[in-house]
Amino acid sequence: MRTVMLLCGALCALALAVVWAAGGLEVLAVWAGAAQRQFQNGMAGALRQLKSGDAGALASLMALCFGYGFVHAAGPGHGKFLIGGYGVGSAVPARRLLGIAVASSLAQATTAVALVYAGVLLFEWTREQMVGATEQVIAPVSHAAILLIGVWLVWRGLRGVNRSRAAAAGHVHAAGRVHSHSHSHTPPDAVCDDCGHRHGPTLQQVAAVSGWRDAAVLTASVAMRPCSGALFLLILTWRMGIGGAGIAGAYVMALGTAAVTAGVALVAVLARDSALATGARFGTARAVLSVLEIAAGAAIVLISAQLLRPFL
Amino acid sequence: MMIRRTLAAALCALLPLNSAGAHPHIFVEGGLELIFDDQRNLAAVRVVWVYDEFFSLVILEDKGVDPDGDGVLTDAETALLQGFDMNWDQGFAGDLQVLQNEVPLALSRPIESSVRLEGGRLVSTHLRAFETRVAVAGVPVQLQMYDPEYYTAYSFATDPQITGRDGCEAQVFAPDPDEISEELKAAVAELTPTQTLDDLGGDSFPAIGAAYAEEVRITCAP
Repeated sequence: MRTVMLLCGALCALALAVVWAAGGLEVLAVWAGAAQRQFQNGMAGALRQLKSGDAGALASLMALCFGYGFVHAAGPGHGKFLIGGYGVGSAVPARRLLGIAVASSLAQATTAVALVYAGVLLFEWTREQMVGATEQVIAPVSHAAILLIGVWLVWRGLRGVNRSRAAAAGHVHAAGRVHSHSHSHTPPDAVCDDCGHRHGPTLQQVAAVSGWRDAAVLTASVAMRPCSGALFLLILTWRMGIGGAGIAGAYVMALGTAAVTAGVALVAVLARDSALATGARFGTARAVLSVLEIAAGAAIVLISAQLLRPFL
Repeated sequence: MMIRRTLAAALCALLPLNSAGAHPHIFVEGGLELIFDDQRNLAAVRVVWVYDEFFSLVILEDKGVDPDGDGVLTDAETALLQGFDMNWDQGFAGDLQVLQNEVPLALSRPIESSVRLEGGRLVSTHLRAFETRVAVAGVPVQLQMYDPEYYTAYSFATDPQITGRDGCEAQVFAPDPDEISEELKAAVAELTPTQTLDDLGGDSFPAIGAAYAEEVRITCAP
């Protein structure tokens, strides 16, 4: 009973983190929208100054771009819920998840630059065509990719539950003795006193196997969809003949976004670790991780489905 | 049991996710003029959209006008801008919904429109007629300006104008974030592990653009 209570406490904290990561707090979204409008208007002013030859406006443009990226990511959407969900549900170390958060933001800026410059230089696309391609084609593909990652997390979690169920049921050794896992002094991943073998891979082993492949998939699914704000900035600066400032601005925006996703990543890892620590006291860390993985995966699937719905 | 609770917690977390993908890129300050005919019925509505400076600059550069950036357009440049936002797709409702007794009232596509540049911001207006003229005496009409996908965020900067009759009052109601959160808390508190989101009534969480939208209410004396 106590396990259930503790676990519920941890899960509540987790749920709150997920709500925030997904931009569920309407108040925050309203605030972020108002702030974004201010940054957007400021950027227009800085761009006009730059165009008129005022080089000093570059610094204020960069500051505004960072702020724009930050509040844009603090509002709803983007890859936060994916990074947060993955951090909660996988044995990913904090440092690697931070790396994924920053890499996916920077890669997203690269996608925006590549799309706009391929668009204007090679294909002579209009702004409507570029933004249209992003919103109508790339966005649903990105949502679908993220949905698949959610399905995959659920599947991985279910496998884990089956494994730890089998382990928790105890197993019969040659001597015919069924041993239980009720001893409280044994760390969950250690070899238990009386059986001399490990029950499945340790958390560290799991993390190593699923590590870099996951990182690449996560980064790609977030990065494939450029942010419309960056597209606007890039197209605008290209037209105004200050393309370099636009490219720099797009990457600075990405750093602003990364600051938020990195924060979400940290919260996710902390929430997961506290849940695991609770689980470890009762020797159920692996089962807890599997349950978290299923919950996080299901959350990602449902959110992506919501995002995909308008396209179906 | 444990898994069920976990899933319930996950579902709690998902309640407000209508907004998950929503973040506006274009900000518009809206204005409305309600035009009555000589029968004192509501005949048309004139809509004003004032775009944010950034999106205005995007459009100016798109059209290649105001190359010196002084914010002053020649007549030829102003002419180039006309109708830039009036090329509506078939299903586009103009981001305006007018309701009476919770029933949407049908509006024509834009009849006339104009665009000008003011202080670095594009001001676009258009007129739409009600397909059936609306008797409003004693029966209030609600107007909401919103993009269901929340790509554009609308707000009212000026009070709605009423032309062609007296005895009517227009009020703007702002969305109350606290109220939205309270609604949400109440809903979460009611959720039990066996419930699904549908049990809570999906209708109480409408399209996010609508949830954020301000509402104009026109009330005329009976």
